[in-house]
Amino acid sequence: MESLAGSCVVCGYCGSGCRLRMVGDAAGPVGISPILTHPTSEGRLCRRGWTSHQPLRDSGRIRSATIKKAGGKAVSVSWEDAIAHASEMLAGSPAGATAIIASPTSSNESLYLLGKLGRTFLSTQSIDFPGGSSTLAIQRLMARWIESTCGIREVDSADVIIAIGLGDGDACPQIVPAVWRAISRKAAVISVDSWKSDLFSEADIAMTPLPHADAVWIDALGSALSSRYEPRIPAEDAVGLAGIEPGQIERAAELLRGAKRIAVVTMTTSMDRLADRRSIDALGRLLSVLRTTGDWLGILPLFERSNTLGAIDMGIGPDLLPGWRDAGDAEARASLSRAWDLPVCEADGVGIPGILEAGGIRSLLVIGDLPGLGLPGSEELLAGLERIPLRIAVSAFPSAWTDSAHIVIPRPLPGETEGTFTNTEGRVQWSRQCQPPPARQEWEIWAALATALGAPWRYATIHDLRSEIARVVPGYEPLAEASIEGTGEFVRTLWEVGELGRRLPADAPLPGENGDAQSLLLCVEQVYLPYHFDSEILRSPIMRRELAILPNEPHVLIHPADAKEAVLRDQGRGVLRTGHGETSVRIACRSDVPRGRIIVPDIYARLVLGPLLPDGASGKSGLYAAVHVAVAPK
Amino acid sequence: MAPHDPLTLPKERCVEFLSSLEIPIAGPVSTGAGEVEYRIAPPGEMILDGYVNSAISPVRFPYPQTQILWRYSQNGEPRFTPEDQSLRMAIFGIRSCDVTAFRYLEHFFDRPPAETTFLDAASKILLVSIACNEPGENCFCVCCDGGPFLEGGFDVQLTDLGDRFLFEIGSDRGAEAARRAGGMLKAASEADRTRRERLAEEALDKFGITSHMATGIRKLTSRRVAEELWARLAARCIECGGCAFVCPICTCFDVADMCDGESNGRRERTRDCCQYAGYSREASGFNPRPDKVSRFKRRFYHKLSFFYLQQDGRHGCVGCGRCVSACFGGVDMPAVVNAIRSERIEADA
Repeated sequence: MESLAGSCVVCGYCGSGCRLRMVGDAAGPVGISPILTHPTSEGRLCRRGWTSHQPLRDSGRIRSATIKKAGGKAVSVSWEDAIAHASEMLAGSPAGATAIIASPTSSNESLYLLGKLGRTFLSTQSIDFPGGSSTLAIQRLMARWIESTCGIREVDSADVIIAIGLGDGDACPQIVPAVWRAISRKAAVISVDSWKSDLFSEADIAMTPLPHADAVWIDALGSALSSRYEPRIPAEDAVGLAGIEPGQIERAAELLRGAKRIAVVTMTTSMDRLADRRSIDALGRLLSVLRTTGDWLGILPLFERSNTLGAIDMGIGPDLLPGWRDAGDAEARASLSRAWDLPVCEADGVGIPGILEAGGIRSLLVIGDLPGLGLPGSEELLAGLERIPLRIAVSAFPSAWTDSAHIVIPRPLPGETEGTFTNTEGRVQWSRQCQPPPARQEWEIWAALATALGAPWRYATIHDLRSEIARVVPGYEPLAEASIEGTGEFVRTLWEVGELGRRLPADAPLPGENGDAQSLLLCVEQVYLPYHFDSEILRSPIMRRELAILPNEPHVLIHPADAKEAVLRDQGRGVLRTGHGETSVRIACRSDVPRGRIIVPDIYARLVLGPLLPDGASGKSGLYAAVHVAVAPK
Repeated sequence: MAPHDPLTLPKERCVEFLSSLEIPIAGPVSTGAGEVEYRIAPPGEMILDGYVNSAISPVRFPYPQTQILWRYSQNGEPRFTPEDQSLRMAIFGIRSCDVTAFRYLEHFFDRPPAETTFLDAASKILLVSIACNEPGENCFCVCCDGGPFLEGGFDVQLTDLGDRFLFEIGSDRGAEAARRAGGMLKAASEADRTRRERLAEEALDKFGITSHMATGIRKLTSRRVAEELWARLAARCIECGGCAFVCPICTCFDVADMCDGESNGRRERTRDCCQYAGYSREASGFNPRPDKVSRFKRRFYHKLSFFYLQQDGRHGCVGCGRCVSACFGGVDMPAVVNAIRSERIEADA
């Protein structure tokens, strides 16, 4: 057994972009080796990285393409036949009738070519990827403050770190040693989170503001730092409005005033931190104050999947073109048309919610997991998708979605994929293929489909494609160099872009409904991360075992001391009650829940909140609800 | 084994020596990124000197992260076929800590009932170690009786004397390797032996990390470590499992049956981590170590308490330093032992 030749792989899970080496033999990988000299990971891998060879060993893979014949029976065909069939079915689709759900774990090359295919020969702007909407707010902030982003290792050198929504660090673990190294150097940490996690047990200030109250504490902090900050919110008001502890704003301001090097790190997966326009605007104003304080390091947004930033850069979004150009901007479209020598679709597109819920889509192409599959309500989702006449799945493992699809094409896994990935810092790295994929590389699938649809493009090798990306996507110029295929990498340069003007979720919190003095505050928070439901990670027996610990029924989280006072038992049931109704749920005790609160995991929000809120209030805006409930054992 | 006088092997004949063994050789090979990994490769590709140890121990050859134990077939009469993955081979350039780990694993897996998959594979491997004149920055084997020079456990131990290796034979298998080398080996001079002793002494002073294992063992065994200290240390563990996966003597594993179609399948063993919540969860759902602090504490009790030292012949650390590189929170073995040592508690006062 020996290390697989050329087996330097970019981990396929979070946005840290750790490189690792697959160890194995001709029969496949048998283990993982970290890379000590990798600039981001420095030889550290999380549990997902350490078990990432296991999905490659799973014999339940989709290994051949299938086409569903009349009567619904799926038959195996060659991947070329599957492409030919798909092109026949897709040819002549009217503008806007096709939708594409791309994957943030695909390579830049695949994403770029898929976007190009979609916006030209498939005549659609309805191109999105899971997690795209949760990054909207931070995209907007980055668009404005893009020259001020910093790298993970630069956080080491900060003397004050504002860490927002990092939780226990599991979503992007490589930030953890950077924060702790800074703490070891006596750096101060201001933690803002829904949880009191171990990661910030040594934080100087740990604020747990209510969901959708970020604008309040940020404005209060800005006001405390600068007399020029508008609007001015007194710190004492922030205590009442945002649910933070007295004195925290003043102490945070004091730390920041004395700081020489300040960094802001924020997780982008959180649906509850910085998810509304007011918060983002407030953070933008705060950054403008901080950047004049000492030696400003910048803001580091942490993205949730291995190529979320690459997907944004490659223009995967209903209103985003490659290079962060606005799809609604006629000049940007014309520029892209000239680069591609093809007209770019002008029809309005929709994002994933629109794709899955709105009518009018005639063909749906999904790469990887169908968003929402495996979550409460997925049966309804699948039933709704049955109305789409053509469903194409490019997937590594079978699922209810691939069972429902008319055409299924095998998808390569990390370790089988060749291409570049852009990590959360903008570091573009080459990932090698250590074993061949069951069919083809994703980019080869799109190239073949484009050719079948009549495209004149000819990409003999991935290098041809990279050269085109280097010409079309600003910041990716070094992709044209062959050296990227070694252990080469580059940090893509940033460019100035204008206001993207993208829509953001509504932010109105729901009013309290219950004046009960013994009541607790019910908040919806993102408890489980997208990878908890990832079909690939669940193919690792160890990860499947670890994630099976998650309760798989609607439940709420409560601090053990609050549970004790309310005579609730861990894993027992309790009744939540408001003026509008009541519901019975499972109770899970967790000591990291702030006192006085009950947290509903967002995936169960609709089920739990539905009976407790006024009619119509538990829809999407209800995801951000904060409502008082009375709680009692059942 | 009869005692053997030390010999010398000119470096320029090292490739010839390895070729003379006529078996596949795994050794330190450059990854091209400033690191080495142990890989089966032509002897000419092996690095002979100046390398720091690999990220993953070469004990992975007999004990890979994932391995098939046996295959089953239900076509007709059910059949179970053990998977023979053993290979007669040599590991060249293995460092002292990993030789110590190799012998520990043999001892561990030989405890009744003997685990033959590992033992069969290990029994076919010749260990040609290179003693460490220059320890790596994370190494602390000197505190763990794991190196930098070995008194036993190796088949052949080489010491870098500049233009040649001092060649020490540690087993009959090592003697056979020397016999194959024939005229390539010369008797070591008194000066060579003296130089070897001096290098061994000098190496002791070159360690950047010290870990007071004896104090750690004493305090852990007598349970004189405050719960507050465990909680503080465990707070920095993100349960990545890296310490267990890189540790050459960690033996936690998971077993899973994998279906290869409707009638065939395989049983695989995968190295696991006692820091994972699911590792200790029982079938009933009860978990004797339900929280991170109890799991963290348990790991170090297993590594350092005297009970296990007696049972396994040594404590559970060879000082390779890999956990120092792998740990996100800096709660690696030397850091924890030193925190335990420096903790002042009432009972110690």
